Amino acid sequence: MKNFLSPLCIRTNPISGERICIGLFVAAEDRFYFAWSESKLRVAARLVAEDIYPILSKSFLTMEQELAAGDGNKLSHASGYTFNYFAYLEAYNNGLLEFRKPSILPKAITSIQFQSLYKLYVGEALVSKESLKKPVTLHKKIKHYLKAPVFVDKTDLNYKVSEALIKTIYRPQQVDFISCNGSLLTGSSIDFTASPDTIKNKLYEFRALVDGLMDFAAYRHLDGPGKYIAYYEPPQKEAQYDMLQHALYDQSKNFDLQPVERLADAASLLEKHDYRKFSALIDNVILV
Amino acid sequence: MTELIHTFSFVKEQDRNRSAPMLFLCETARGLEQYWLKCARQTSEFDCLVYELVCQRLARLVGLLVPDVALAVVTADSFVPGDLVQNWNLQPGDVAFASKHLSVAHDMVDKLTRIANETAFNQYAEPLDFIRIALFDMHTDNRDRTEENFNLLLTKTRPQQLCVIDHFDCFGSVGLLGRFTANLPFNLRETILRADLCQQAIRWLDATAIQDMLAQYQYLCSPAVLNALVDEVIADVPTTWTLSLDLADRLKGALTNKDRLLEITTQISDFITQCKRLAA
Repeated sequence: MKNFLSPLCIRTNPISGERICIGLFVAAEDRFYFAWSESKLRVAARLVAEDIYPILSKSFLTMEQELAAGDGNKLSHASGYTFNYFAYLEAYNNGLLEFRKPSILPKAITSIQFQSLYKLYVGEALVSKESLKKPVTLHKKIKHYLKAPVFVDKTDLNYKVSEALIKTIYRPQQVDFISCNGSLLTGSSIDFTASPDTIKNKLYEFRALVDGLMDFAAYRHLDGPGKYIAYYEPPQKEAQYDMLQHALYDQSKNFDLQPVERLADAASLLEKHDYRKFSALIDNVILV
Repeated sequence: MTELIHTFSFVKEQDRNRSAPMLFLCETARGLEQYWLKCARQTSEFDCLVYELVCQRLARLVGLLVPDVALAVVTADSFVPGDLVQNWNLQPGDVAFASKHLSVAHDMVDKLTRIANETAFNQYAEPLDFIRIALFDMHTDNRDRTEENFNLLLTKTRPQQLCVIDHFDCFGSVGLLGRFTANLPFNLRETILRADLCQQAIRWLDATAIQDMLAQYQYLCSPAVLNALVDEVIADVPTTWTLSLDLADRLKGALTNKDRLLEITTQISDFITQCKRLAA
């Protein structure tokens, strides 16, 4: 079995012969390598002016899965991927998709060498599909926790605290949840992956809100120590990480700063005590 | 010491070019890289591969941009013999001259390349290179770089840089293989200086800067330096390359001929003065 490579191209204009190399296939002694560029396929689709992306991307994914079966080992079902067959394909290329003339290789390659070849032929770094998966955002994590019945039953979710009620804020301010019994319990997320300026504003806003909520609690004779919690997820970037550390060690702040996983603690607190929705409490408040 | 690399995968052959370079992916200490390979298709052409090595080093010495070069060992199964037209006799184990393929941001200079105005002229990192290249070509008797065939690459990024390639046909080319002497003839008409592109550049080049460059070139080309340069190249030549008799001495003689170099610089200087006068 010959070791060979064959670039995969999209012919975007059959008259001028214009084509874009979007992928690379390599048959090595003991395995196959195949990768294609999602971004270049999208560019090619725009040039062809037909919606070729869905069908082609699906074909490539199928091919990837077939070749990756058994960790990419050569299997009998993938035995069609031979040098002679690629040479045949190249000879009769006449459509949109072209496997270019296969070039033999003197030896099997490593996955590192495949990445290097891919960069040379396709012109961009090979990105693993795993790394393309979007990380779960803080917002989604919070949403997941707040789906629990205890939050739904005993708290106001995504509640907009009115500036008419709380004097330290100047426009309605949303919190993720708010509840009360003999004291207030409120939580709001602060996304530390945002820009430092945005984080700074969110911290100041929450601090001002908590000031007002404390005044409100005193006015309403809610004498128990309230819980005012900002939830975060540790950021990757240095500037944001430094801000988080600064906020964590700030003794003067009037709220707790906790990792998002600590929402589970708030859930068990709500379960153990007779909390009720904040909105029920303020129904009878006379706005001053 | 010239780097030794190994061919990995054949890409294409430029079979219409006289030296028929072949583009290969090669294994280097840095990973896989693209190199243009040239082989001696006849025994006498090994001298031409030495010209390539000598001229690459000389170009660097005088401040011209030139691709990295290496000696490439041809690996078995890195090509299919049937793919090669001009280099049909390439064999595994052969050692070829290899010149690194530059990035896609480079394009060949041709007769349509223009310098539209002074702003475009100012985009060149080193516009004196137009003159320096002509001087270099006369010095090495490179008659394969003319206004028909510039053998120059130009970056399409700013600042623009000229890069000299292809020195297979220097020192009298195939016609004088094994017998060129220290008194190689030279002809200013067979350089790029008369090309429209150079004429446009000369309009904006400072005359004093040109004179300084010509003097600097002569200073850099001291016999001691050039003799050492030739010796280093010859020491790197693979034992399989059959060179003509006294090649090293004849190269040294041609390159270190001070009278010849002085006459070349004088001719260029006169030509520039004439061009400037006509432009005024």
